[in-house]
Amino acid sequence: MVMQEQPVTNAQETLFDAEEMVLNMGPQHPSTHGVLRVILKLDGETVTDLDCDIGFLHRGVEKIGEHDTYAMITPYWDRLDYVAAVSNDLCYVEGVEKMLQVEVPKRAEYIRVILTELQRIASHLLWLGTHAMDIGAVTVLLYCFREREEILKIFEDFIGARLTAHAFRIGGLWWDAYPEFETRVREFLKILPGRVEEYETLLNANRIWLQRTVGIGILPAEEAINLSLTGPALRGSGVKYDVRKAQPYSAYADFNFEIPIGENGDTYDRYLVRMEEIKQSAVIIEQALDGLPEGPVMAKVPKIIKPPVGEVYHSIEAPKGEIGVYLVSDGTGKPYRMRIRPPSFINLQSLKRMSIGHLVADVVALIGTLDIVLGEVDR
Amino acid sequence: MRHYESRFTHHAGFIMQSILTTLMFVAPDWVLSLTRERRPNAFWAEYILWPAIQIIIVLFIVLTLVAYLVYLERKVSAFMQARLGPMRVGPWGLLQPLADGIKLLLKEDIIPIKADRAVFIIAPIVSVVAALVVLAVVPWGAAWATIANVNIGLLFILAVSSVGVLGLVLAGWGSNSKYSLLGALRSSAQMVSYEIGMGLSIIGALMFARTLSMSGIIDGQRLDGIWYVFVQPLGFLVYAVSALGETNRAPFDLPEAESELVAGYHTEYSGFRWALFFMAEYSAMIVTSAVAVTVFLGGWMFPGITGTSLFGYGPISNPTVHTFASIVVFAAKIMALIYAYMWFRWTWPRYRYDQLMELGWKWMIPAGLANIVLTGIWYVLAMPKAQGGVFGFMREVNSRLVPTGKGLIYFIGTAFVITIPIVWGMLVTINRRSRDFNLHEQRQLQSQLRRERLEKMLQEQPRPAETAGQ
Amino acid sequence: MADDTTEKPNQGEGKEPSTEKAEPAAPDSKPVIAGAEGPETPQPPADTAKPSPPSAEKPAPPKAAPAAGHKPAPPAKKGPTITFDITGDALIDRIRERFGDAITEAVATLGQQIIRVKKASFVELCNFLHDDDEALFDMCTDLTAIHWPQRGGEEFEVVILLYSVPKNRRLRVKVSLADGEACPSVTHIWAGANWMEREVFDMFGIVFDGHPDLRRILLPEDWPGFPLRKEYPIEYRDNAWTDKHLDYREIDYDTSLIDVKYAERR
Repeated sequence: MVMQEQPVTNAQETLFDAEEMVLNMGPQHPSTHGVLRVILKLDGETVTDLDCDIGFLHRGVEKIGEHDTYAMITPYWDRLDYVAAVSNDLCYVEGVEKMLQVEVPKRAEYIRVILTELQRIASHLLWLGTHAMDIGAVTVLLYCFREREEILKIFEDFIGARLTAHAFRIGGLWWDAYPEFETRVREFLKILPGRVEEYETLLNANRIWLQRTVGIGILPAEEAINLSLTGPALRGSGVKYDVRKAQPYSAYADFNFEIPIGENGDTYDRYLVRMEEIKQSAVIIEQALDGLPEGPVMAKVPKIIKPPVGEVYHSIEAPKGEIGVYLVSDGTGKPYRMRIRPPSFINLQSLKRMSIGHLVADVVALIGTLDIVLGEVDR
Repeated sequence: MRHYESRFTHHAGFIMQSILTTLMFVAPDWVLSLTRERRPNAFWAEYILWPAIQIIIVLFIVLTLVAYLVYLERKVSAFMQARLGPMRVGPWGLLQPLADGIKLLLKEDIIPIKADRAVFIIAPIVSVVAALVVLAVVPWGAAWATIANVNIGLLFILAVSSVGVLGLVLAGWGSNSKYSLLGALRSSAQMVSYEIGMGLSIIGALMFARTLSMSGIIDGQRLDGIWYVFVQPLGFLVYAVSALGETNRAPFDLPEAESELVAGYHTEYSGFRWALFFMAEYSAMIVTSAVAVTVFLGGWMFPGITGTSLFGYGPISNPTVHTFASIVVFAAKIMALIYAYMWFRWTWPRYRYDQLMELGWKWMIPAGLANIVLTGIWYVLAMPKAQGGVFGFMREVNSRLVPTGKGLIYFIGTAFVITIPIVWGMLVTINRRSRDFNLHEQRQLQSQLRRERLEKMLQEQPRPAETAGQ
Repeated sequence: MADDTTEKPNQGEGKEPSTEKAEPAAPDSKPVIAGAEGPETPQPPADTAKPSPPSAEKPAPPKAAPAAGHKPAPPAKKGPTITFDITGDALIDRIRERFGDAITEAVATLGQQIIRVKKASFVELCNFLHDDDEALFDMCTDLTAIHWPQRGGEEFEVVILLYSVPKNRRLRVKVSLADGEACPSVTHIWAGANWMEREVFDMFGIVFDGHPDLRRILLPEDWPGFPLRKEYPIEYRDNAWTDKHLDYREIDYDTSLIDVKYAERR
């Protein structure tokens, strides 16, 4: 507990004086989504200043990236945003493939898209559950986990793991999809719209939900771009930037989908954007399943991966934002520098800008709306 | 000293016999009526022994009920959340409260070092006592099923449950933690604000009942022939919301929510002290539900079973069975309201503290006041012409004004058709400048304005920050 | 179709492969001469008024040109390069024209453009890139650093990855610094660079002039050393911070030595 030291003149004065209070939302807290420490300066209940103390989950992945071979580094990327593990892998694997100039077979790309979009749905469901729980609607958490469970079961049967699922390899996929994969994904897609409608019925027009999210944390578009915000948080502010459309990677250019944009840049808009993204992901998966080509799933990649001297930056649209990898290669089998562009870390900067002026109870809602995962913030 | 030559005389129990003799000595009327004996001593029976038995029974039942309400809450919330709840301890987890109780009793008793020991220890006691004393005037059933039938019962309930706020503040202060204190102050401010709403909302019904005695109110509903919820829907609504706020239940549970920064007045409490606070909260739930049932929902009466007749099918004639049935009816109604409490908690998000206080002061209290004024107007208008009324929809029965059939329709009609819209209009007027008022419409309006603005701008030039890529 | 990349990542129409032996990444001293293939545009062309060049596909930009009779150069010790100079790009030309010598190098690799600028003009260039109507780089995607201990006098390289939302275009700007030299901060241009610069400071020790709040972000405040430098070992070691904050006790599992006095606590 961080308290300012004050001279003890009178018991009454020290307890009820009008100076600012420093409140510590410690690293262990039910709503900070991980080990995040937020230090707030309060004037009554209004936040006047905010500072984030991060680094509790710092594991030195970038340093490890200089000491392991390219293929060995891939599983570390799952552990960054552990909630949406599959999409992180895609970023790195595609970056290396870009440097090697390997062409991934079409079938592998389609299956990659399906898995990534399923992971996006799972990540948004978890986001919705925890965000609603922080604001008070606890039941939504359990409903979301019920759906997420279905996705994780599909992952488990395909990849072997539920949470930190490592499906992608440099050059494609390790295994082809198992025979019932398509039916199970289609079954899941059948129940998804009904469930999403359930959530929307519970929350979209709920007076209390509106009161807790409308007008909270408004971030105008120019400021959001200036703060390097990306992902649904940026799109909630009205900026139409989605890496899947701006620089299509993998097979996204083949699919027809929309990018939801918010209007006012408040928490309610970001909520609507993410709900719509879940639906759009379902649309993409449907198209990918319909057009799934036959063929190999792994390109011919040398056993020892040695990209040529050079560097590359590759980014994808992870559920949390734009995740990127900046690889500098010196021609050997290990990267010279591997930089992870972490969306949650960079989005978290906006927390200060958004919360100043709001009440303490809104800080929790704002941390939720930014959708951060500490594994990615700290790496 | 009389010798009882009755069927209670045993061979092997001289002591047993003397105990029973003494008990019969002081037994109340209805027990003696079972045994057809004369009652020897009134004072001891009516004022000491029988109330003691009643208190023990009620306490036992209520405290067990509180423990099982926790279990019920877990089950209800689990079923709402597509899961099962406690299932391991006993069949369907029915022994879970027992296990919880044992665990809490065996926990280490932690008192923070710098805490004020006396205050720290007293606080939960004050809270629990205030919550439990109130049970004495609640009419659990007909006839002898009330411990103390005081003729200011309702006032007593409101007054004594306010004392529970003291327990909160003491807890916050005694914990010697800045955050507990702030949480306690917020909780107590919230409770006090919503108590005002509670008090105002029941005055409308009291105009019909003309008495503050709890059984008197039930009697009034019997004589008037209608449950007051139908003639006072607004009062019931305001009371329901205020009761949620008073007991710190969702959606008004910010001061004690887990994800709230200031963790509340009972942070530093562990083990059985914490259990006492919990008991106080659930007893408050039971009490506020009981008041709602008594004042608005007809108490222990149910047409056809207890109290009144339904199309000629009379209430149960045997008084003892009637009383037991009335207890069951009362319990059923309370459980229905408690289920509603739980349902609200697990469905709705939480209000922020300032929104919560705004709701209490700017919505509940004006609505309660307006309800009183309007009900008074309808009542006076409906008084018999002889007493100065206009419509004459009431008649005097045993020096008590009772609405006629037309009167009932009149009261119900005015309540739903005139009172509610007028009060709604008044509330809207009061709150129209509030930022949170009608956010749905605000957003739709904003979206529309924005669309118009964008169209205008696109006609002039494309906005750079809006479009990127495809 | 590049399915196998074992022998020759068939790049460089470069006549001179990069000559650095033990050094990674080409774009250092010798700009490599471009092939007849046009300059690279950023990936899928957006609705921007870009000059002509044939838009290259993502996986293999320069390879698509069996151009102008240049034979692929014989692989150097490291293999042929994938980096070559930018020509014909309107924006780069504008930058070159405005800044002249300060731009020491403008290369493209795998479709991504990199400019190297001298430190003195760094902030001016960033302002230009942010404000200019043709450039409009309003988002700083990332800001990081690379440590090249082999290069004397230019050990650190601060890299900014910029992105222009309206023009959907990326650019990379690099600045070389000596060890101990401070880098001007760009927080006043892109607010998002705040934490990124703090992290570079944390990991490399590069001080940013003009940063509003330069302190360690991921590591504790009193951590000694800068982990991402090449000389910092990857294995765990005890240092001043662990000595001060982590309390190690050797516990002997001989039970007769366990003597925790619970009674000492009240």
